[in-house]
Amino acid sequence: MAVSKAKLQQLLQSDQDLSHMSLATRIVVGRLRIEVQNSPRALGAKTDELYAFAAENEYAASELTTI
Amino acid sequence: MKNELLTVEEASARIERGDVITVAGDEAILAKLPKGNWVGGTSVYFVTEEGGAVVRDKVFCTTFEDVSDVSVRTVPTSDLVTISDGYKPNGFTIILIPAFSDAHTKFAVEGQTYAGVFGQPLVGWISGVHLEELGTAKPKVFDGKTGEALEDGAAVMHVSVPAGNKIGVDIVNIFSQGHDKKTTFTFDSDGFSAKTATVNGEVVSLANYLTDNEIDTRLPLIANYGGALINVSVQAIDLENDEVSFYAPVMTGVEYQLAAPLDSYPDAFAERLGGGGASQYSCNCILNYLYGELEGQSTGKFTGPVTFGEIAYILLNQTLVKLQVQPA
Repeated sequence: MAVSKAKLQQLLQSDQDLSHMSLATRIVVGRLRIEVQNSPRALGAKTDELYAFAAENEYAASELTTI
Repeated sequence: MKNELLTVEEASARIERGDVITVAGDEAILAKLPKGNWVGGTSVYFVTEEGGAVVRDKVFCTTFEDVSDVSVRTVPTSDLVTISDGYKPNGFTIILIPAFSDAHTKFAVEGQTYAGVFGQPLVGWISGVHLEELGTAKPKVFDGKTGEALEDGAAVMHVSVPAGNKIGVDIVNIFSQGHDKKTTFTFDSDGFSAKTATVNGEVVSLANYLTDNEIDTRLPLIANYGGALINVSVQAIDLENDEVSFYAPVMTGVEYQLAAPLDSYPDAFAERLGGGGASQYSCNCILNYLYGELEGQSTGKFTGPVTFGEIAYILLNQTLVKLQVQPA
């Protein structure tokens, strides 16, 4: 997959607007961001979860490579 | 995709010839439909091309054309977690759930964590009843394959379309955050009700806060999920029991803001919906219908059932959900 875990980690710690992405990707990233905000120690696990989401869904991988 | 208000005879003829349909209507009419490739839910409120209306003698049908494969099934509440097991390649899934059921609560709280749920568009709605029949009639959904009416669980239709077709799902939320950007609400537990909230860092009685500050509870609380604005609508303030109930669950740790007020509901819809909708599947919220006084008012080309909750992967409130299938 073209997007790196480091990039995804940055995405989860940012408030970058994702309006151009699919509804599914916005919801997933939005939820994971909230979980990281509430529990910063979960950042690694949540990054892994986002990576897995992108690996399982071609559309998400394609969108997340644009970040 | 075709959206039509049909008589029971017309809808029955479509089902008997094998059409793939979602149906919304009064329970008495849904119960008369023959078995086939359809799922249905109770609703008597609709947005038609002429405007919002209560219709009891017809059903609102969305017919999916050019379908490669379809399966209709009942998913018990305990099995909702496996919803994506039925996903078909290059497809989408329609899910209908009765209001006030265990499935409604379970899907609302847990749905977004189900494995594979985001693997393809998942759209649908929460069935309801006429508001004058709340407490006497029960919302139901119908599994068209068996003809069975359900008061709990979900009626689900998995649809596959030819490769190359583009399937898109999105939401239209006419509200925006920002009634007072400095005022934020967070909650310490997930649920359809809350006694307290943390407002700007201070734990308060939510019922008292909303009452004392004369908050217009027709305006939803809004969370921002990466640019997707997700509403939670207030159902009731119970000062006696010091509790506020909602039409969708508030979630722990999520920061909500009150929506900015609207000058005009119909104008807001017209502005946000644009000219599309004629060949899209859509549903709109009963609260938009009521608060927006949409009866008799047109909201453009988007037509469909008015519902007790909308589903676009997750449970939504005061939102229009739309699904589009574009041929290759």
